[in-house]
Formats: sequence, C-alpha cells, structure tokens
Amino acid sequence: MKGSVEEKISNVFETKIRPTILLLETDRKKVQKKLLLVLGLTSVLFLILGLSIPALGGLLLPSGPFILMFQYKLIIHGFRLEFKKLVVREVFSVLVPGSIYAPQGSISENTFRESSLRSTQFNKFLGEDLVKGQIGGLEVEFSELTVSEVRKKNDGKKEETSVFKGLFFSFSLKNDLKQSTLLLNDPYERHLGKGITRFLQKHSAPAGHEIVNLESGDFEKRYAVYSNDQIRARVLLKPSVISNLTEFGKRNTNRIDLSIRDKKLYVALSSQRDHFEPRLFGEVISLSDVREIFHLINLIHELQEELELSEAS
Amino acid sequence: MVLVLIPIIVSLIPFFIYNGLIGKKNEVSNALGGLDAQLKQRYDLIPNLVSSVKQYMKHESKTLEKIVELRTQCLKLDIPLEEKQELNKEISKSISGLLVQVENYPELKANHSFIKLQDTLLSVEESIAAARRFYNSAVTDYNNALEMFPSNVLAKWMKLQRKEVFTIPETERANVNVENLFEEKAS
Repeated sequence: MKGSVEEKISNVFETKIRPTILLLETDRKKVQKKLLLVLGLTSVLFLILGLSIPALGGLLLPSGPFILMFQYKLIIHGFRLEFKKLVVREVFSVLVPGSIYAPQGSISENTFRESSLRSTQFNKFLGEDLVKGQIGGLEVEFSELTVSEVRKKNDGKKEETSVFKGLFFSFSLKNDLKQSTLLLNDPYERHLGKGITRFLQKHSAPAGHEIVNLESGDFEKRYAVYSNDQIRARVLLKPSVISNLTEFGKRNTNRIDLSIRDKKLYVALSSQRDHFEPRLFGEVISLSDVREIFHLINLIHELQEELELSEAS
Repeated sequence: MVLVLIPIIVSLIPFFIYNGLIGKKNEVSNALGGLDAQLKQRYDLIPNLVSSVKQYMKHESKTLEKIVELRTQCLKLDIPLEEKQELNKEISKSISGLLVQVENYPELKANHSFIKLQDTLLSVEESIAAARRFYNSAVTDYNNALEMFPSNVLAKWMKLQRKEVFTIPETERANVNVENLFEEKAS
C-alpha cells in the first residue's frame, strides 16, 4: 500500500508539479545571480568602508546583517510570490482537491486564540499560505503560523519566546458536539511518572476545564485531556478512539495537539520548517518536499478518521 | 526562616490530605449525579419508545411490558445503588434486543419518527456508557486515596468506606462463541 502511495506522489510530482518548476527555472537563476551580486558587492563595500574608516566600521558591524537580510527579502520577494502562485498552488490543488489557496492569507488571530491550544500571551502573530477546502469530508481552513511573545529584558535587549510554529487547521464539524475538550501532547508522564504528572496536569488545567483521566495507560503517557464536560469528553473519546489515537501517536513523531470547541475542531501540527518557501540553490521544490507536505496533510486526515468524527458529528 | 516554614508546611499537610479526600468523595457523588441525569433521559424516552413500537411489534409485547416494569422500579426513590445498576443493565439489554427485532418490521424501520427516536436512544446509551466510565474513574481515584499512604491514615479516622466500580458479570466477560450463537438461533 505504501509503495503505491509513493508511486502516486512521484507520478503527480513529475506530471503536474515539475512543469511549474520548469516555468520558474529561468527566474530562479536570474534571482540567484542578482542575490549573489548584490549581497557580494554590499559585503565587499562594508568591508572596504569598515577598514578605511574605523569609526564607520563600529556602526556597520552590528547593522550589516540586518541590511543584508533586508536586501535578501527585497530581491526574492517577487520570486517567492511567483513560486507560491505557480508551484504551491499546484501542490495544493493535487493534495487538497477543490481548495482555494491564498499565499498571503492566514488563519486569524481570533481563531488561534479560540482554540485554546496555546498560551494567549503572545504579541507577534505571522501567518501565510492559507488554504480553504475539504479534508475527509469536513470544511477546513489552514495556514502556516509563527506565533511568539517578544519581551524586553532588564538590559534592554529583546527576547523572543516561540508560542507556536507549524501548520494550524480549523475544521467545521457537521454537528455541535457541545463541549470544549483539549487533547494535548504530553510526554512528561513517560519521564516523570504518573503521580507527579497527574498533580501537574490537574493544576495546569485551562480555566473552566478539568483533567479527564482515561482508562488506557498507554494513551495517558502520550496525551493529556482537559474538558468542561467529563461525560461528553468520554462520549467523544470512547475506547475505540482511545486505542486508535494511541496507535496514531506511536506511528508519528510530529507533535499534534487538538481541541474541540462545540462545532469546531482545531489541530496544531508543530513543525520548525517553513514548508512553502522556494529554494534558490537547486530545485525550488523537490519530490521529498512534496512527500513531506503530503505526509502532513495525510496525518490530519488519519487523525480525523481515528477520532471517528463522521460518526460523532 | 526555613526552620520556621518547615513545621508550618508539615502541619498543613493533614489539611491538604483531608481536603483532597473530601474533594474525591464529592467527585464520586458528582459522577453519580451525572449518571443519574443520563439514566433519567432514558427513562423519559421509554414511554415514547413503547407507544411508537407497540402497534407494529405486537409479538414483542412481553419485552415492552418488561421495559415499562423495569423503568417503574428504577424510578422508586430509595432503591439501593447495586439494585438500580442491575435494573438498568436489564433495561439496556431489553432495549437493545428490541431494537434488533425492529429489523423484522420494515414498516416500523422506515418510520421517520421511530428513526429519530432510535438515534436519540443510541446517543443516550453512549452517554450512559460514558457516564459510567466517569463514575468508575472517580471511584478509582477515591479508592486509591483510601488505600495509599499517607491519605489512608486520615481516611480511616474519617471512617470513609471503599466504593465499588461498575463491572460487567463474569458470564459477559467470556469471549463470545459465534458458532454457539448460530446454533442457538437455529434451534
């Protein structure tokens, strides 16, 4: 089965995505040359100025990297957009058929806060690559998000703490499940033991929620469940679903957290990589990149199936 | 400062344990209340169920009477918990048996109101199963606190009693022999 899925992805990559990559090849080489020229010349200029006027060198040294970064972003801006419009759009048209892709669109900050999947203490919210469509028969919108809290330390320097980075999904369920239940990735029980972890989990429950202790030790070692309704949470997380989710957790190393708030299912799939950015040196996007994106979308599809949401909803 | 704090903290430990035990005891009551609420929903559906099916399922009149009788017994106020549990198990068994028999009555099967009632009943049965699981979880936590050191010391002094979780009978735990089922049906 796995072999045929791999073949299908390869086939789709060669027939549908590679033609779009070839369209961009000339532009990629132009941008590459421009980038090397501009950054190279700027660096040489800084070096000459710094060496010949020592006072200026003190100013250029800290600001140099920012100037170079600004130039880099300016030069590749148009190419990035072109890549997203041509290549990424094609990738999503294959992986999420019938979907609409907006390169500069994003899941809203409000939606992210409503999910309660992460701390609401953040002041930097960046999102892009918004997709709206259907996965597993449910309406969905998702995008890449980078959410962080930026604080000023006592010495005046800025400190940035990551709140979330990865793909964030918001599904519309067919029925109102009338609960607020969070299923959070929680591997601490494996390291700290049951007693301490339960104590910590109980006292870190989000407002209005209680820890839900379920019957499977294996499941409890991977996830912490919080809910505002102990009975409805157990209707959703029946023994078959618990077993499915445990197996799912064993198969996948990606960190996935999810919450159900009435008619919405939110899924936060953590990933340190930017999945929809072009490469300037080499192929703009490779088969392994596309495979990885497929794997991530498929993970979410599998998760929906494990939750048996078509029955619950 | 530390020498002053340590005895204060140590002297507060019994209070934390006491409160913890009371919290767990109340959680068991809360879980039982939740289960009762789900069972009440089912009792309220039974008259609808009986009136919907009796005109179609004339051969199942004994089952219907049994369900009504069990419901009446469950609604008595001072019925012990174990007895109530047994009666509710019988209701579950009878209702699920009845719903299987509906397959033999195509007119009833196609009736829109009955379909809706059947969906509601199944949803309530799921909620009852979930409520029992919540009760068992609360009782397990409570029983653990009663038996584990150091809370067992205070629990004995408070005269707290161990509670039983909901279980299924030994006969139901045995693996089902499908061949026997077919033989029973044939005979």
